[in-house]
Amino acid sequence: MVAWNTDNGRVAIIASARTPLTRAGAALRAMRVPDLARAVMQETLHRAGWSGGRLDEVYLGNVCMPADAANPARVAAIQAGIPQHVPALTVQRNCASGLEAIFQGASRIFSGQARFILAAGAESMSNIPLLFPRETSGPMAQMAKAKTLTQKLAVATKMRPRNFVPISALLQGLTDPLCNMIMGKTAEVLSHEFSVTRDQQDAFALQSHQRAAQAISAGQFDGQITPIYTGQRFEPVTQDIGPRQDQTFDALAKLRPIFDRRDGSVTVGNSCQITDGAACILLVDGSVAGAEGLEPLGYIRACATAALEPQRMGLGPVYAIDRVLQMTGLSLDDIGLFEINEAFAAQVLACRKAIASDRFCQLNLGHDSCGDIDDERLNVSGGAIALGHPVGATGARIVLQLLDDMRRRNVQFGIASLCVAGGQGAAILVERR
Amino acid sequence: MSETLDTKIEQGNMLVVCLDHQGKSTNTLSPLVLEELGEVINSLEKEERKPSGVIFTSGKPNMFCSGADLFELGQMDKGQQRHFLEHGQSLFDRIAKLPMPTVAAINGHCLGGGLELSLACKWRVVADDGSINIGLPESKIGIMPAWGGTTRLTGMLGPTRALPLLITGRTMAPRRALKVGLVDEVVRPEALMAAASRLLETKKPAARLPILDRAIHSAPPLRALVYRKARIATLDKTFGNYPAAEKIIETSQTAVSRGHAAALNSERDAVIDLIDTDACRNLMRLFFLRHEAKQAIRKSIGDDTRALEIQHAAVVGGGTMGAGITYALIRSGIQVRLVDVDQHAISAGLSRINKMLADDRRAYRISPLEAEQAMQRVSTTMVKSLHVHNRGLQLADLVVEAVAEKMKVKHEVFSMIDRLARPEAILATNTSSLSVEQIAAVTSSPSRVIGLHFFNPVPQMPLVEVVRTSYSSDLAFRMAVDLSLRIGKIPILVKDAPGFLVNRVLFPYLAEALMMASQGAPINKIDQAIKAWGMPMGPFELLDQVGLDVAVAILDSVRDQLAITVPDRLDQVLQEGWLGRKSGKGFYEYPKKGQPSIHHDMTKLLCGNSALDEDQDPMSKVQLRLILPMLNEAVRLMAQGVVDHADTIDLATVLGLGFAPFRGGLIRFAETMGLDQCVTVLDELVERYGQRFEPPTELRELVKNGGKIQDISGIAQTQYAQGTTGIPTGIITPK
Repeated sequence: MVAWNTDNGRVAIIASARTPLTRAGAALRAMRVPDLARAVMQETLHRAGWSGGRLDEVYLGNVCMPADAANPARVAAIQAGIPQHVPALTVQRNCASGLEAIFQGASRIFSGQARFILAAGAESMSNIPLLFPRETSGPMAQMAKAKTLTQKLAVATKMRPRNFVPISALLQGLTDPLCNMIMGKTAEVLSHEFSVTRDQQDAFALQSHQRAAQAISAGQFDGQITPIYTGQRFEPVTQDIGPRQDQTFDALAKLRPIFDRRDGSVTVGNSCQITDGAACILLVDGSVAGAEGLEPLGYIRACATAALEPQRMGLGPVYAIDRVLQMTGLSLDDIGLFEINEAFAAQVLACRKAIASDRFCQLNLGHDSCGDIDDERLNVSGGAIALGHPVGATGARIVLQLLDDMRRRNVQFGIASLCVAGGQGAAILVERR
Repeated sequence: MSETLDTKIEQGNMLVVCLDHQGKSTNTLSPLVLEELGEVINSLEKEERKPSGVIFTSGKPNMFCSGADLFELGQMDKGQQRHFLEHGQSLFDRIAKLPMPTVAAINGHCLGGGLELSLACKWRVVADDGSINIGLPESKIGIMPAWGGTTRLTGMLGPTRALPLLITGRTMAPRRALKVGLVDEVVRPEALMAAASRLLETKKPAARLPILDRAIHSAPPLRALVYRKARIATLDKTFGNYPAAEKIIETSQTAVSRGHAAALNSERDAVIDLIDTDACRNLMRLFFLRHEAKQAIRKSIGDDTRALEIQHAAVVGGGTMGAGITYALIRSGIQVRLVDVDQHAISAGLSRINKMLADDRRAYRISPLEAEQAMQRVSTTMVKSLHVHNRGLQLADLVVEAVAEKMKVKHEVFSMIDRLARPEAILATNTSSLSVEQIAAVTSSPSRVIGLHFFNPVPQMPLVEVVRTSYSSDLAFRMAVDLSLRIGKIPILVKDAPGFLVNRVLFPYLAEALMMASQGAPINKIDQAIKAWGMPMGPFELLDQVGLDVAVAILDSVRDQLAITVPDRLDQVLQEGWLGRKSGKGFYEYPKKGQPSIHHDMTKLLCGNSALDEDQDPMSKVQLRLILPMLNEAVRLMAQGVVDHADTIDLATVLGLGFAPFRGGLIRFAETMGLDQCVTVLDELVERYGQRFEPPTELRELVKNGGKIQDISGIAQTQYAQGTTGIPTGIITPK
């Protein structure tokens, strides 16, 4: 467990930016992880009017680190024009990687080791590679060593078709080796345990689409998004393409369960979309922000991570949210808005039920129920089911979404939280003044 | 140790001859250097030392050797020149005949005589650095390589590959030089000396000529054919205005047909003759003017330029000019925020920038990685986002506006950037014809506004007009100059007057061309006549290139102040949408493939029923009818103190509008022709075509009292001096 509570106003969030979110293989497929991260880093610094040379460190959350850019944080930072004397670190806590980058930065500022931190998250699900099976590497190495044609032929005869069947690193990445379950299966576990029905899941998914589509047509994301110009002809990509304005409940209801075809209820329609994107925020020591007359978007009050059994990883937010509330002495009712990442509708709904349940809370958290996270306070602009879940980026994206909604609704406290593969949860509590 | 070079024995018993002229920033091949180099060669010939090989390199950063010192060459009399040439030729011949292998390890610019020295070595190896220039640019100053360069290059590459290099004087990046065959290897800079040593040890023979070139060497009829074709092709482009081109072909042919010694004689005689031509004098003068202009303006901004060095800039407008300016900035490592109205404009702007970088990549000036890195320096934002994220321009030390030439649009942009940019940021406009002072009027502090007028296409055009208004601050001026120099341009200082310098003299010329077209004159013949006179393109080709809409917009904004007359029917042409190259039709039609042809509907529309009797107007008159209005305007801008030295006009007309370089620029041309003669022709033109040709009184006075155009600035100083600044407005220090 890592948890800490900052003094009020100690870590200020000055500026933020994100890319549009587009389905893997779509408009942003040519953007590699550093490209996506560079775009949001550059834009965030410009929005802040902040010279990259003043930064103490750059953190980037990224799950599937690209083979051609080990430590993509450093690559992106340099490409963003941040001077080379500024160090950069890539952090990985699966789905909470983008939030972890913020935790790291806030923690450095809080401890007095740094004053200015750029924290970002980026993921290019489009560029996650296909792999060769492990047993192929032996013959391949021999082939490289073979000099004569006969030697080469000899090695070639050892190859079998199965040596060339590609393995999806994406699928592997979404499967937890601790319980050998793909993430969707863990959502099925929760749907049974908390009796979350198919209809409830589909209704939640529909609401996510409606809210996101509504926000898009009201132009509410325009201020967050920095357009990306990509490809040979610099085609502009300016909007999220996930949310469907015309999504119906019936269409969602027709989809077949995908992780458990016979008894399951989790479908592609009520799960998050596989998406490319990046988000970034600039963290500044609150006292400096005050001295320089900056107008922070908000302040970080508390951060926490928690862990539980891997099969029930979807409940991670319950544990992490409880922790930030304990640390700050605030109650659920004090929190005006919540962002709980929509990995699966079943998982978010299970979290709501769990946190409202005295029995669950007493058993797992050692106290009575925290209260109810009602619909009107949760993911008010839609979530990953509509917008998509670029795994390394989402943690940062939901923080800037939360701050944006808090400003729009004039809310003082907000919590953003994610469940994390491997059985973890992470939560951040931010405030506006 | 000698004064100009340094010799030492390296491991493996190799002799390293390091050119390093003490106390100078560059290595030239002066008589002293030749002498000291001769001593080294002498000791090698006498076998006083017996190294296993010789490496020639340089101790200067970024500079191997820039060739003969032109200034010294200019000071010599004919006998001295001949001796100097002979000295170099025999020295390089002796290097070529040394008993041990030789290699030139080229670690910086290798030009003219520097390359001739390298060509005398057995091998040439160059550091892989795209900024290095390699070539024989002698023809650009009206002479030709005469230390065996013309001869050796012909032998090494064959006439078909050597002649274009010699005639154009093109210089190139190392990797291009490798492709062309000028050098043997390009290696990473740190490994240069190691590679040189390795080459000395190889037994590999030098590359052989391709079979076609060997055939040319050995078959006289084929040889004659190749050279005849080269002569025709060259004449087609130079119209006989550049005698050096013909001499190069002649010498090259001698090298192939009559051997090395005869070719060296031919080189020498040719250069002695060429130095004495007007073309060479004019080209050399321009060469010096260029350097003096840079030095003088650099001096005027002071030594301490650290505060002027900008890290971040913003460019408003991603059109042709905005993209060009962005390109120039990112190529120099500056981060640029590109601002435009919507995503489509930005996308188009980025494509333009990328295309310019791709040209550099193809020329091996930058690597694919460097091109990518340059592109990454651009971040973009739409105007509407700047209203939300209103700190979005705060990083910029300089904001350059490059939007449409309309005062209303300029005012909108300037009131926006005045509000959004940091208070200390300098705001520059790329206007080509509007008053900078008037543009600045909408800002809260006009002192931070300055004109920075680039020319199209920005990557190729070396000139920038720095327009200082009576309010512009010292800082604004110094930053504009420092930036121009940093991105490799030549800034000239002009006052805020309609059309500044270049467009002011250009537009009377273009307007007169339009008048001629409206009178039914044959446009293709006019274009041809003007090209024969020495301009790179005819006025109608130029109008099509610029775009008729742009040209008319500029004409409209300057015609009242400059008393320019334009045809009545121009608006009709604009309505037809015949704007030139960009719309596929203008004075010429531009098919997707193939040659442009005359667009007769256009000329018909312009001229109505009038038709010109060609006999009445011979082409020689046509040339002067177009050129002399430029002179009138140049005299007026001297009189008004827009520039304070006539040399600036010469330099700017050549660099900014391609005014026939061999004529030395507009003023030099007029003074060579005789100012009295100019006035006589202008008077004839007045009689024939009207008052618009009336020479200014200052010109008449000059003719009456005798004197040069430069003397007019004396008048200006008393009449127009508005000493708002402590900095001299001229850039050329009189000799």
